[in-house]
Amino acid sequence: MPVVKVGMVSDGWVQNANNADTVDNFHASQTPAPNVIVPLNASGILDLSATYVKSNVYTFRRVDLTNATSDYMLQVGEEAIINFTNTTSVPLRIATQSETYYEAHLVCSNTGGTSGGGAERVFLYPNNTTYTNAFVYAQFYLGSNSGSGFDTYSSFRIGYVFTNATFYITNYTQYKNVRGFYDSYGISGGYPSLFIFSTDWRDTSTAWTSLGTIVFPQSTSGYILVRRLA
Amino acid sequence: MKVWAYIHPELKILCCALLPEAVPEGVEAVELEVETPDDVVLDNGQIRLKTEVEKLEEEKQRKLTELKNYVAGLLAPTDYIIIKIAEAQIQGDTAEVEALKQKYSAQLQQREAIRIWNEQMKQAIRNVMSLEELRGIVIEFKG
Repeated sequence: MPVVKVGMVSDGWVQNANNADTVDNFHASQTPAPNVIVPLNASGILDLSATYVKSNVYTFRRVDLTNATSDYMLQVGEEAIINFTNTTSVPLRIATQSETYYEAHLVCSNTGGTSGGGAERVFLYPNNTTYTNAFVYAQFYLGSNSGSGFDTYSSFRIGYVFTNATFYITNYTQYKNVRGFYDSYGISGGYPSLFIFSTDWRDTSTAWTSLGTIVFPQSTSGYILVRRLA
Repeated sequence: MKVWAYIHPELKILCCALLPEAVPEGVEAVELEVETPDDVVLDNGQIRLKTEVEKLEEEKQRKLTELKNYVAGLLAPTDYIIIKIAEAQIQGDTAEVEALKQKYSAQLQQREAIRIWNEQMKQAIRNVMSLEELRGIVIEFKG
């Protein structure tokens, strides 16, 4: 427990009075900055909303990996953002390992509509690699028509045409899965269309060491958020 | 795009890395320029690019599968009518069969139109001579 000395007896005491908001020499402030303590709010909650903490950073630790050139290992609770513009390939640059679990959001900003896209799939290449016919994908979908599918691919399918997706990634070397849901648009029959999917990498020995690269069927813009949960 | 194609040392399957550093250490890889990693094939232990004919044939099959799923989705909402008519036929109730055909004539005509369109689409897909032509075929029933 720090002791705050306040008084005018000596120069030293004056100096301590000026630093009355410090703990172990760290200042407290509602404006986050390096080596600054952010106080709990009146309810005892570390409130990172914009109305309390004066910052546009809403998470404890967000790492911008947009221009990363090597893989970064997210810690539990930490999230990455990767922005991309008019591209068909986005390397996530996130290192991973067995016994990890992630939540991901693929947010696509291409203009909504029933045209402009090709009827092709969006994939996540684990380890930045395709493995021929090693992935099985199951889905239900509903657009202007509905149906289901059970197909084999060479990487994780995570979308179709222009995609806004939320998915969860399980990485045990002996069981590797991506599952979630997405909206697809940009072709007739979509805008919106809802897909619920699960895809397993049917390989129980190859280690998943890099979350990989997302590959789009046409030029796409937006951002990806990846948060490590375990 | 560039890929580095290699045979997985344990699984003996074809893999295509998007980055040279993604190739496992000690594994020999072939650097290739492709439209997509699907263009690479393992043929009798040899890594090679698919021919245009192979690519076209694969795309045709994919398009035909897409068409099949699409048509199934179009027909599914009125499948119950066919079941009702089939049940009446099994019971030998010809009056009921005729009554059902009358009652659902609009839906039955629509199903017939879907099937005719499906056959035309299948033929159109089979007849295309290039990938560009194939990609221009939009699967959408406007009947």
